[in-house]
Amino acid sequence: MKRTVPDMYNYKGVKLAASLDDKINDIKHILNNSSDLLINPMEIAGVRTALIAFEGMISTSTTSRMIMVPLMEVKLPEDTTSMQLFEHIRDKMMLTLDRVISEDYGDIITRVMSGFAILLIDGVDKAFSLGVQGYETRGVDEPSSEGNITGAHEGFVETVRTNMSLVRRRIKSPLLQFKLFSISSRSNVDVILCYMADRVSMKLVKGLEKRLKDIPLETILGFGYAEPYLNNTKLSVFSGVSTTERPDVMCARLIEGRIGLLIEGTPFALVMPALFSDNFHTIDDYNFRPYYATFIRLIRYAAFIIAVFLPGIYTAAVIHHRELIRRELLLNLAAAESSAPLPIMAEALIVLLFYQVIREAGVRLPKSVGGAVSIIGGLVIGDTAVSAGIITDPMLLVCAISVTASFVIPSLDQPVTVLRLMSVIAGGLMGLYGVALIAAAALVNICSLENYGVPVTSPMSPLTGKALGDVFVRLGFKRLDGRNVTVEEYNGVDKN
Amino acid sequence: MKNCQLSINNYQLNKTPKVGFVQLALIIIISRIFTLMTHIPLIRDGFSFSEQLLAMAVSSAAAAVLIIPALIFYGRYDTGIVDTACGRNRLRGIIAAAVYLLYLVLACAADVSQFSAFIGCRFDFGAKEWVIALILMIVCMYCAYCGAEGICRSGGAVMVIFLVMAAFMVCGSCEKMSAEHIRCNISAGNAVTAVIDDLAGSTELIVLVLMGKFTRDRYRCGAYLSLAGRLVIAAGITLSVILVLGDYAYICGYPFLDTGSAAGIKFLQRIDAVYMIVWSLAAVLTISLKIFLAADILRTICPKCFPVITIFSAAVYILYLLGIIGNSILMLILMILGAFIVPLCQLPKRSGSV
Repeated sequence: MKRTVPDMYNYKGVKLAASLDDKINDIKHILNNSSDLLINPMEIAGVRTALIAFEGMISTSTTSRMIMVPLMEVKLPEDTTSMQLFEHIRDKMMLTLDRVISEDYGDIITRVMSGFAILLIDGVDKAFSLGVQGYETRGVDEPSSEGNITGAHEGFVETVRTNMSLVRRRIKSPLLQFKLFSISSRSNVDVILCYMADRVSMKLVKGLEKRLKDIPLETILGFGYAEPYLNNTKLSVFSGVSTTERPDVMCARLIEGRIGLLIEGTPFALVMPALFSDNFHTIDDYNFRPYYATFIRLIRYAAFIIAVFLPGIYTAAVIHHRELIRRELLLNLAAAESSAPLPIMAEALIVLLFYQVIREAGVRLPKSVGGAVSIIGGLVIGDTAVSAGIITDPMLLVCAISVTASFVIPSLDQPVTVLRLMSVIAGGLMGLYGVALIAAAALVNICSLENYGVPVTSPMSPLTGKALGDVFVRLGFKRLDGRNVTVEEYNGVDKN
Repeated sequence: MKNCQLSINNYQLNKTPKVGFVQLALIIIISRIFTLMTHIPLIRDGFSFSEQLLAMAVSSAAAAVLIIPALIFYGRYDTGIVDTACGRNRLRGIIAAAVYLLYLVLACAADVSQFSAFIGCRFDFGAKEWVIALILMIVCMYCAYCGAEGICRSGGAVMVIFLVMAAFMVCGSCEKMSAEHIRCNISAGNAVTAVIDDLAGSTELIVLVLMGKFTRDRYRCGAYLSLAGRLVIAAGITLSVILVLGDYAYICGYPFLDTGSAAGIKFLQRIDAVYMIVWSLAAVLTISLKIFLAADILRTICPKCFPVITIFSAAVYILYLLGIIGNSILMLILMILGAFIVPLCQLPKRSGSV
């Protein structure tokens, strides 16, 4: 029977050839003789074998110590057949902890690109995939996007298996489940679904797995590629899927009955379903005393309102509702605004948009010149603009307060930015009426969001009294203990 | 992904929105607050405080009786009134739908008219009233598109804001309150007229009846809670207005607003602009919910008609532009038909859902 010869487009599911030369030629053909492919032929007990790996993907010392030396020391008779050698290695030699028997080229190619070394044996249509990954990875470091004072200083990294271990270390329970599979048609990115088996519906897990496998993208280079396919919310500035860089936050969400998604190549994990109140919680809240944690949490909620509505309310009050402002303050504002060449609304928009430019420049610039941005943007331009009379002190102050308030809740930076600009435009055109309409639309929108059957505004609306001890306030653990509130209680999700 | 048959997708796309009975009560009370914040009908018509209080109590009791057929209906059926009528007989369904749609379109047009007149009159944005109304309709359309759950869940936040604002207003105008402003004379003729007036102005009654389809459980409890709540709120607002403004309340255009104007807090010169924020929020929720209910009825009788929200909103806006908002007699008749007669006609000869 004519053998199917695989190529770089059609190799998945094609069974391995028995002949070593055929196997090597097939692999070279699939990989188009890639320069980083290493092929090491050797003879073990008189049987021809070959070890295949990608340069830079494996640890040479581990490979030598755990694979090559033990194989070279195999003592079998010279007339050993290929199958006997295969069975000897399979049954009597460990070689590596992560050892899989591969039977088709799809599996082999995926594994060799994941840092496995492949042991091929002449005359056997199976191969050993041996996990000896040694590619360069970033060490576990402090998360860059979620700062804290009292919590752990470990963050996720780009390697999904390392992230898995960071979660496993914190929840040492057999109920913590990981489901590893590959997605995306071209890049075969490894993803891991994490969940607590007693808190999550299996129907939901299977549904998520199917959604991920059905993602039509050719590659997944970040969490943003997968998020739209997991997010049930539409036409909203708020998302039903949250991200975190912290394993301790991820574990807290898993205990609450949510599902986490780790993606190879990104240090951000996705958690679903997300609640709006999650954006105002930090790990520090649970390390501070309850009274202080409550105070800080209320500050965050106030900061959100200030960040979104302060510029809009200021614009509306100064243009349309001067009677709202006390006379003394109004006179000062009038004196400041009288010298401004631009309308108040335009001034507000310019300041806010300019802040976005500085922020973007600060993120993109190399670190060596990043400091210059803050000097130029903040001191030189900001101070000079006021001195030149282009913008006024009160407007700059209001925008600065709003922007600083938005730093308190970095996870809401995107919706805050959009809503802030909308409220400035609405306030400038229609006063507090316009701001109120924006507030109403945003409120109804966020209240209508549901993800996987769980309302985003839970447990505030619909009200779940048992869970309110950890929303606006943070009750002490002795009072929170035993409540065991999970997201399932926010909706009648069937566990089966 | 398009062919995913799992329950999570089906749940999101095809489910009927369901709200809790507390959310139902809150949204009904907010609808009442919206009406009262615009103009307090019984004050405008010159009734004494005692007559107003009596009228509110009696009309609430009358409303509680009017909705009995609806309560029995929803106790037996899971579907809506128009859905059941259509299921039995298409013509019956169209007649029932016509009653509700006519009421809702007139009520919405009246709400939009009052709102834009108020904004245009008291706050000068340099925009015409029709522009204010158009922007309001666009926002309400979007909120109606978000669904009943979003609107009803927002009610809790708006109620909290309203209560905080009301507390500020009461505290800020404490010094101006006087019990001498209360007149306690009652005349039988006036009392009857006041009851009819109050009942005719209770547009939220039809909303309450139609919301039975979207209430998850304990609809009866929610209905009576909302009637009790609106009575308490109405009495409280009326009392505070009369205590502060006295006889001036009977001649000013917007009594509750003027009560707010009279109140002042240390850091705010006047809080009537803050009042406007709350009123705008209440207006959006009230009108959006009516648009949503009307769209649901339209979708029931005309399933292939997709832009039902746009169609109904366009009808409301056209009526507003033409100045057609329905008089109190017509609204009262439609309300009795919609709240009592139509649900009564749908009560089964046999039990069970359709």
